[in-house]
Amino acid sequence: MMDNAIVRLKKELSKAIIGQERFIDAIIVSLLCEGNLLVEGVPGLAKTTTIKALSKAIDLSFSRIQFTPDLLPSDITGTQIYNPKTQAFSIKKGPIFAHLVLADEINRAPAKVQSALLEAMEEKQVTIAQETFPLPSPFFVMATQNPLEHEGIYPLPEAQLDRFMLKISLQHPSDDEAFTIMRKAASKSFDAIEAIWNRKTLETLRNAALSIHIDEALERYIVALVSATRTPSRLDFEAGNIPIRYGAGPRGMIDLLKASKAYALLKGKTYVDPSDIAAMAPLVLSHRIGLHYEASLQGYTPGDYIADIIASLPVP
Amino acid sequence: MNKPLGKTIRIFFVALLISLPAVSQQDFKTKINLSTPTPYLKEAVVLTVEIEQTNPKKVLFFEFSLPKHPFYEAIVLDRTLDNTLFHTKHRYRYILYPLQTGHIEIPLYLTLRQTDEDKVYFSASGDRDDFKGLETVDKRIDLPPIRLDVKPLPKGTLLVGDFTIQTHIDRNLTEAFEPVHIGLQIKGNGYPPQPPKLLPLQKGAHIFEGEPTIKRYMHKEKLFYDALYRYAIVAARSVSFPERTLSAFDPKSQRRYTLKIPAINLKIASPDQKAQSVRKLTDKENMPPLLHALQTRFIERLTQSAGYLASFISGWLLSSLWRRRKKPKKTSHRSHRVLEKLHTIEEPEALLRLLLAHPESSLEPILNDMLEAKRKNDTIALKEIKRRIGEALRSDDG
Repeated sequence: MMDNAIVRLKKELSKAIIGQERFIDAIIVSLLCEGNLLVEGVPGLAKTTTIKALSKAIDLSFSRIQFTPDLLPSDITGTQIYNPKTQAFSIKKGPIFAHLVLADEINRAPAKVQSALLEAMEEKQVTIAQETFPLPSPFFVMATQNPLEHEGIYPLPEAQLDRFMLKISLQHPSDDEAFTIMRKAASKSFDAIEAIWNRKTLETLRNAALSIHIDEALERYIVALVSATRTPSRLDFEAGNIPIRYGAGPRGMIDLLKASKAYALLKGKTYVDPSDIAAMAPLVLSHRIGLHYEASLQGYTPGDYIADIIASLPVP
Repeated sequence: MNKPLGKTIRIFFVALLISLPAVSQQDFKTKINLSTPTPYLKEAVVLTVEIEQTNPKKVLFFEFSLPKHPFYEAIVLDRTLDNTLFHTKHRYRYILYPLQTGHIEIPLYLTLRQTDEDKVYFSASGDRDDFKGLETVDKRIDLPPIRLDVKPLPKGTLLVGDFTIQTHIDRNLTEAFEPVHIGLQIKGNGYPPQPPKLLPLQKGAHIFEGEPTIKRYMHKEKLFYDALYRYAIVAARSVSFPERTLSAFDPKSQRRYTLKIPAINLKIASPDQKAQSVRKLTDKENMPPLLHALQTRFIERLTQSAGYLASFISGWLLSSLWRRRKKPKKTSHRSHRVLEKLHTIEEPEALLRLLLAHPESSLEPILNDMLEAKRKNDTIALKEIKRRIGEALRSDDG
């Protein structure tokens, strides 16, 4: 029943979104694990459309925040407004008070604005004028970064990146997908999306994801994988000589465990196997690994690094 | 009878009033001394002025300086100032050179500054940033003037004093327009000598006068000079300077004497006297042809072209080597990485790890089969799996 609900959701989303299956899987996994998603991709890859379609399909409120260099924290969280008629201040909640929040181009805003959002994501509440307001539940943030922008940006520091459960880089669609996108663009397919989930469904699926079975050997596999990102010299593989600055920590390990379970549920399984862990590892760990400049000169990415670790780690 | 007495008494009291508060000459004494009252013109005369406080009940300060006058030139010899309260004592000594013959009268005066002890201490109190001026009552006191009867010098005298002269010349033979350096050193004591003029016999010589080096020092109340006057002579042809005689007079010994500047003959070597090769350097025509031969020019051009060619070749080599460098690990298609390593794998476990490391949707069924076989501890047919992988990847590439 659970996987049926997920299949129906994906089918509903496919009315408006062509391709990007991996992206949709990542969104669903993040949603099921109460995590947040960081998306890197050039404009025009259906990032906004996907999350808007998701909010419609799950019947959750949606808001979009466009991050700009002149944005203030109060533009996100909200502020007090003076009403001359009543001669009193009233609270105006910001756009963060929604179930699904799209933080577009988060790396264009200065650090204090980024911190305001990330702090709200962590604590699930916002304080305005000494009054604390809980954020709605479920609360999901999808933040985007434009990889082409190199000037006037404020890159997220490593500590802040760690707060995102998954990070995915979107690629351009294939020619066939592009052809279908072009055809569908002419039709009003977005309006055809119906709400097939509700909060209760989401809650049930979340509990189901948590209850997915994982063998102890696989849990140790996850631990070994994550710790290998910090000390690769313990493994006998080429990447053992790749200079790294830092690897993933306990938060990455926990997120990988949860994501593997959710992914197993996505695949209609009741247990986690190594393929689920291997599928989620790049999404969960890539943004938590920092390589030295020499590695990037050779064209070596954190994704390659994780692949080499998996290729060297004994499979339980 | 009473009226004349009253008038007398009034006059007495007025006189007393006038005399009492005024600082009288009895509060200090002065002594002025001249070494000679009848000097010759420009002869050194030592003037000594001594001022000494005689009234120990007052606080007095003196200020004295010799006024400037066109009839004399004065140089301070020394000053001794003792400003002990109630016992001020000053001594000033000058060397005077009278500049005019006949009777000269030089007025002298000093400024007397009267104050009291409290004001002195108050002015000295506080720290260095808290400056307080000394409050005084100042009064000008005229002193007896200096009287000199100045005698004229013998006719034609240029130097007054006891001097010697030495002439230095660096060379007598030189080339045209090469400077020749001459120094005239006058030493002795007397009135400061003026730099002698060098007058050449021929025209066309340029004489440059440099900054003289003058040293002065005192010895036994006499002022001694050691002056070096520098000249540079530049000429196109040989030039001669006649012998010069400077008439001098020493007032102390009343001696007349002469100082001689010897004759200076400078021989200038003309360009005609130089070697033959030098003549070739002289341009005789406007814009003469280049000295370099055609061959030399060709070699220059060839070297320049070779340099350009070498730069081009090195740049081309560098770019082609860079293109041929070891390519980065990442390939355009991830599945190619599976294919690259597929043939080298000889163990099912390694193949399973490879498929896990590079998940592909087309390889998912194969991966699931391998995981299932591993879970059941079944044997994995490696060849069969490899074949299936190859087929799946080739069909995926289309």
